[in-house]
Amino acid sequence: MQRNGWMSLASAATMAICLIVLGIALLIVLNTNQLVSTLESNVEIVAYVSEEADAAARQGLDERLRSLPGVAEVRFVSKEEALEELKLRFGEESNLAEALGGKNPLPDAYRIKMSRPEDVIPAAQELMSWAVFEKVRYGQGIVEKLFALTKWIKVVSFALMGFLGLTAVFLIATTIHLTMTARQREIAIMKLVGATDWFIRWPFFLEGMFLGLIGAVLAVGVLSGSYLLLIKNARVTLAFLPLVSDAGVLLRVFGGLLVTGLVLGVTGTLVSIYRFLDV
Amino acid sequence: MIQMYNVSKVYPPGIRALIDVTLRIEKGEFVFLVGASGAGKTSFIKLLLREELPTRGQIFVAGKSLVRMKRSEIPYLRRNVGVIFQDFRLLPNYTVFENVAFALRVVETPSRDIPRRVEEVLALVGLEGKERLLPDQLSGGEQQRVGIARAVVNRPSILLADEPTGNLDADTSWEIMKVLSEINKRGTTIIMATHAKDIVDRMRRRVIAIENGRVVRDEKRGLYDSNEA
Repeated sequence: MQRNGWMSLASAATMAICLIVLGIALLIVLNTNQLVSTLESNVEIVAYVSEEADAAARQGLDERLRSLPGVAEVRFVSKEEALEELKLRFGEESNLAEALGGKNPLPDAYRIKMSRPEDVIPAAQELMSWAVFEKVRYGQGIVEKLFALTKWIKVVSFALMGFLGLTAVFLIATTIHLTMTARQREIAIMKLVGATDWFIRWPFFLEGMFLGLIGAVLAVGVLSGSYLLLIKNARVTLAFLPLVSDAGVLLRVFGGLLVTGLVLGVTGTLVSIYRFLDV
Repeated sequence: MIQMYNVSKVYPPGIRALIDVTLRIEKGEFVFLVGASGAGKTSFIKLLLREELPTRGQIFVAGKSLVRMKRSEIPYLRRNVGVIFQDFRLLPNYTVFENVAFALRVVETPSRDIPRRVEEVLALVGLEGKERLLPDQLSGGEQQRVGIARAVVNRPSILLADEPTGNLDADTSWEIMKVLSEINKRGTTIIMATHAKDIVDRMRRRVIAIENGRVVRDEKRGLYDSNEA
């Protein structure tokens, strides 16, 4: 291995970069998933009562909403309360009432929280079919946009990873080929005196695995260091961002990177043995 | 021990190295393989090592067909068939001891047995006290002795020698022949391809002469040339 120092370094470094990209992609996907579920669980349904709805239609609406499956909380917000909230948001100085011409254009509304995020969409669809509601909103869009974003991140990072992974495998194969060339005489003699194929091959597998593992250890070092730093800083400055910090999950991510490094190293060796070593 | 039936070897694009060779070599024989360069002697040796397959015909070593032999069985054949070369083929960075031990290691001999077995075989070829020298520090004859030691340390029943004295002067050649005779006396079959007329003529062993790929002569106590008999 000392013989091909620069090649070994290049293949381990490429392996590291490939695995860092993989790791970043994994962490982003994990965090977006967590963000999505946090958002989903916070999503409330706002159902605006139609202006035309008469007292009869409004009768017992609260109970009917509460009896829907999965509903955790129902709060009635009258148009007056809504206007107060709006005033608060615009500030005391603004003359909102005057601007609106003394009329309150806001409808009465019900704010409904669900106990499980996946119940939000079905419940919102159910409410839309009720004539008493003019409009039903449940924060649609945000969740879908986040999912679309994660999908893109996955596609781009897998493409990048595929490319880098191939490069890493190729570099490892080339490094191992150099070792083979350097050991040509020994290999020829090994064959002549009756070494089995596996006896001749296994040192090359060891070298490939070692290169892969070195790259993986580098990648895990860089990633875990910077991610832990990110978590630490995010707690202070980005408190609203729920970063994944579960040790079990992170250990699985980093363990997965180590295994991937080993597998890519072995693949490189296989390529080299298949192409160059007739044993 | 060794049987060949109608063995032919043709290399692309149609060079016929061996043509219809049928012969039998018994256990413990000492056989000279003679003939001009390119007559087919090296092909003969490569076939017996199963480095190559015959184009036609069958070869048996110790009752096993080399033609039907599986790839995974080849290493075990080679542990039973040692080989030495004109150019010795030693590992230059390994000492005498390590060069011989290498052959034991690659067949996974227990390490505690290795020193004893290396010492034994170095004594057999007359290299006691040279264990720690590198091949460069040895004479040609001594290097060939290392080659022989490496070839026989796994106790093969057959030893193939491809022009083992080709790079050595006459006196040194005789030293090597003594070592080979000694190994032969212990029961190892030896097949030696050679151009060395004086050696063949003085040893009076079985001579198989090959010309243009065909066996043209096979004599029990033969000479290098047929016309002198």
